[in-house]
Amino acid sequence: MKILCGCFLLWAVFVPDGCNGPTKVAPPVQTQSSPQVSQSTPSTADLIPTGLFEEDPRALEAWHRFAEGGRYRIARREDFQIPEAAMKEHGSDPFFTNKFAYVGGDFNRDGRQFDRAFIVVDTTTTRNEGFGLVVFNAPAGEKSLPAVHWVLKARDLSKSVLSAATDVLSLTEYYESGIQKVCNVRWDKKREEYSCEQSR
Amino acid sequence: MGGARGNDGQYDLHLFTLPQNTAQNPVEGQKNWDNCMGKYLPENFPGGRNKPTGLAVGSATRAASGDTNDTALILGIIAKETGFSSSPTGDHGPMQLSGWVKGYLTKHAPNLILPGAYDPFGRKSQASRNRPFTGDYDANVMTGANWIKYQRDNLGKSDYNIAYGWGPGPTAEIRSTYANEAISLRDRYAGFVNCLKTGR
Repeated sequence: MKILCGCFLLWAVFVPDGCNGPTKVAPPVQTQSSPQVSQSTPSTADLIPTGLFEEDPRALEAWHRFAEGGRYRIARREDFQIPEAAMKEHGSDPFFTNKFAYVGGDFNRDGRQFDRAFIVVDTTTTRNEGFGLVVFNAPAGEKSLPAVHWVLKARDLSKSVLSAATDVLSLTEYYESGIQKVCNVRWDKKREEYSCEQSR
Repeated sequence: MGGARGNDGQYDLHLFTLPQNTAQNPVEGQKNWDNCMGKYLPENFPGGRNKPTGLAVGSATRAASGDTNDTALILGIIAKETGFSSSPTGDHGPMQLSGWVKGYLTKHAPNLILPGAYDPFGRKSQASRNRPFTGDYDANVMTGANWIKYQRDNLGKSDYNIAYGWGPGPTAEIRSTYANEAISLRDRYAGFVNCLKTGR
């Protein structure tokens, strides 16, 4: 069974999808700070965090649509290279130690729970800029799917940590020099989009 | 996430003594923690939130004098406010105590504010809000617990109404969504907290 699954996944990764058109897939060569694309068969537990979509099948469906058959996955701890000093300082902080780069909250302040923010990895590239930040806004009705909003796309977020306080989503980049850059992710109600407001 | 094992110092684990003091040593304490976590909060993100850390559970248990409901309510608020971060940003500390609460308590019950519950600086500017909490984690949680008890005993508020007031505004919809989730998390955490106390 494992062999079958492995073959299927390899096929899924390297064969262009007939519906979505041909996709150029770079060979999974690993560079120092690029997202680590695993060759082994990922289990569901490695791809979808448990508890995240429970009792919310529409959100799960939205995730599957977004993931484009495996093109995007939620970034995992091993995808990041947070400087050791920062890890040491925040070693008991879930935002640093969680297996998955995910945070939930009411990020657009519309009173609907809840919005889900992810750092994602584009598995079709090995460039350092293979990361992205997306937010799934909770839908208005039970039958609607969450709306997906890219905040950052094709960026190197390998030294960044996603966190939130009082439903304000933040992305903090940690440098070896000890400097950190914080970006607070704000929802623009009029334009219906998120933006990253940099501040030190 | 990294799990309770990596997050919990022996100090916190000593709190969770099983009946007949079978958990007086840290190994037993860790076993009890793992057992209860596996039983009641096995998901990566129970209720879509980070898992409680030993730091938060220990602090909440002390602040609530071991009361299961209040410990769980405090944890529900911490989960929503700062996701169990050990170095929270935003307002003051893990419970995100505001200047308004400080002003109210200073006027009506100043002895309920513990030294170190607040940063020595205000948190109005974005730069100050991005700074990690510099006060004392326990003092912040204890002051939050005092505020909960004060509202219940002196203002006749229910857990729901306490959470409603804790949440961010400005709309009633945002506050009620906040309160509903906080109560749902309280109920989810209560089993876990009780298990830490009883071993079941």
